[in-house]
Amino acid sequence: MKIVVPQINIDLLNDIAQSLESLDSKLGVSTALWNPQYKPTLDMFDELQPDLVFIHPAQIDQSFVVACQEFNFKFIIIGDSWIRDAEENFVSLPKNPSLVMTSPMTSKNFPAQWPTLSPRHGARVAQIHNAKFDPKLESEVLVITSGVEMKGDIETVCHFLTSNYRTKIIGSNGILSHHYLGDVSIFERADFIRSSKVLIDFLGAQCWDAQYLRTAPVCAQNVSPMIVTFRDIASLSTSVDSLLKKPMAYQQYTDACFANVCDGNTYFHVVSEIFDKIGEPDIAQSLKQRIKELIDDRNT
Amino acid sequence: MIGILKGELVHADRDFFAVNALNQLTKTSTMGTLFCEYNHGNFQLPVETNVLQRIHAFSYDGILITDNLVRCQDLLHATYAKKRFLYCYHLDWPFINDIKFAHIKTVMLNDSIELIARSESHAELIESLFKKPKYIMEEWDYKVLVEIDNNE
Repeated sequence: MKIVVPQINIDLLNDIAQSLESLDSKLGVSTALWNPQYKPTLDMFDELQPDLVFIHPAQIDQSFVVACQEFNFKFIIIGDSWIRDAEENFVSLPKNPSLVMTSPMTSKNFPAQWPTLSPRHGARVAQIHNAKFDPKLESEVLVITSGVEMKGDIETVCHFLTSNYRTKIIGSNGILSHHYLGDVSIFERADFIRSSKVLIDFLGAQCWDAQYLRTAPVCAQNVSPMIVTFRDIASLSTSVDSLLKKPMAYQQYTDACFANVCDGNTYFHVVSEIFDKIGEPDIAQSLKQRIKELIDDRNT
Repeated sequence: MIGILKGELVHADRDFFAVNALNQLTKTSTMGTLFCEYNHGNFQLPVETNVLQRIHAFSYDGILITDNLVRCQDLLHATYAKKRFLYCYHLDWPFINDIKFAHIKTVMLNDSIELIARSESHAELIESLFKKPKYIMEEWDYKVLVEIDNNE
């Protein structure tokens, strides 16, 4: 099966592509990244003849309509809203998508007859599985700034952490602090998480990676009942102190977190759900099998 | 032999103290050399020691020290240098735009480059983020330069 994933600024698409790419090639699944800026839609269809295409509503144009008529493929839409015409009716296509990936709050922005699935975060196992502890990257507390607007309360929290713990800050959004060490590659990021005791997650997206790598997450969002959360500096301080000073509690928490993430909370599981939903159970099963192998490897 | 590697000499505290230390070294048994691109017109302290173009640092076989993160990349290629030091005079990496950890780690976590801190508190910070500085030297104190020359 040839699968095409557009290279646009949506993390979920990268995570889907990485999970598919790490499947065994004997399964016949090949994944290609498509940059719509450099390769027009019809050229991509002509050259790759894909069986499945992930697409964002902003990429839908007349050439995609032509492709729907000329080529035999399934497609999955990822976005917040569908295109409407001048009378505010939904624009129709020659064929319907196999799935729309949108949050429950935005599903009303798509035709009701299209099947939907709510995207969710998981551990980016394809990126982080081989992470290693590196004493040079070791820290008590790690903050990752990518995707986080570093101002206001968040800046205050960072300054509290740097003043009270051995803290390192990494990521694409800079903060004026000596503890900020710059942007990192996906593999450096994984090693930083593995080499840290506690990860502070402002978004509720990075905590899954920490759980997989047995680093204790402390989250600003309520993403899972078992993950420690904080609402203010006082509760953050209590949680971090407790994790750093009580090794037994730390061990129990990280073990429970690892079990939690392995129980259906990796991107392999997320992508498997997608393929189950579009009637491709073989690929869905292969993804589940692959993550089982990786978890067994991690356990040994 | 101590060589101090600079980009340009400007009328700023760290360049002033560096040149002052090199001038003091001329009164000791430690030979000092300044490697720099050029002397900015507003630098007013007389330089009373050897001054060579930066390019000569690559064939220098003494102890090379720089206080500049950018120039520190040169240290990686100064293969004849007996020892290489980065003097973290200003903790200036947060002020670099779009900084990448790959750039920082090349120098700060490089096993062949030792770090020098300017104070105890700087040393603590540098150790917590990178590695333990080998020396603490306040404002290019020439006595510490002599100590480095004797120890290394």
